[in-house]
Amino acid sequence: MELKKIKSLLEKYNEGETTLQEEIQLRDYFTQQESVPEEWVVYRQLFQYYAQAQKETLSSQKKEKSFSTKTLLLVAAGAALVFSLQLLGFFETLLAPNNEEAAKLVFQEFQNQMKTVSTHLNKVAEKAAYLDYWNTKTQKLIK
Amino acid sequence: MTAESSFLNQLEQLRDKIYRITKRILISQEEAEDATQEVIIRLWQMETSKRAEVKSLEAYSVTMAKKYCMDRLKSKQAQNLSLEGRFDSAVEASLLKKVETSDALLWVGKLIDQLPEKERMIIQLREIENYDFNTISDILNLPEGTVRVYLSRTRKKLRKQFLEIQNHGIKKD
Repeated sequence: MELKKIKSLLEKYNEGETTLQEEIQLRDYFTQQESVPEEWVVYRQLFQYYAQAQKETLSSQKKEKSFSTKTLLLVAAGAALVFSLQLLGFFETLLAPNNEEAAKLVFQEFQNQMKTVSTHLNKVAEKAAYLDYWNTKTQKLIK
Repeated sequence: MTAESSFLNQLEQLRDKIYRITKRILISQEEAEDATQEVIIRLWQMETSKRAEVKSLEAYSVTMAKKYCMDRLKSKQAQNLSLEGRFDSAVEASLLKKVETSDALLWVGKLIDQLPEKERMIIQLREIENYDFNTISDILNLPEGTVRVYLSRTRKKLRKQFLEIQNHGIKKD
């Protein structure tokens, strides 16, 4: 009887004494048989997993990955489109004639900001000049 | 030139095998992809004289892949050991709840990935790559008898753990 043979193979299998050929027999039995005794269902699942894991390849994973990068690109493109449309809308409201006052206000604000930046820059430049002075002095001392 | 291209061919055939081994050790798909690439490059850069010395390129590559991954793990564990441990137990707890609905085969994979390193490697090499004991003992640098003992123990352990998980899912009382 086949069941008897499988049973004795399983016992050997659990002791780590089956040969590779015998293990292939077991795998074939458990992956092909539609119904197995209830206490062997666990073996069927284990052997099915092993059979499936043998087929895993790097290239099959790569395909999935390239698909996901494609969708990622699409999403990014969509986001960029939405953003640029909003930017366009912003400029439109800025440049519309009835918003001239607002535009002037924005421009003035911008000018003020730039002024503060430039004064700070000038301060730093002055400080940097001290540094330069200090540098030349120390150079002289070293000499 | 023919020697070069046949070597390249051999590497091409080994690529998936190396990938499966690295993925079994590193678990993460991205890391396994990187590791596979690195191992292939190292094999490719091997000097021709050394290539001739290698008895079985397959066993040699698998050994190299295993070593490379263990080094990767060591440097990673030094960085975030505690975090990883916590993550593992969280996964386990949520897995137990999902028993009934989840795919049994997925489960087997997770159980194997939770095994200690040696047992995991032995299962991968024997059950999935179908290597003989001699080759496995070479790759893992263990005597054949020890490999057999580990294999027997791990086969029983996997069966027991898998049964335990399934019984949690189908409690009849």
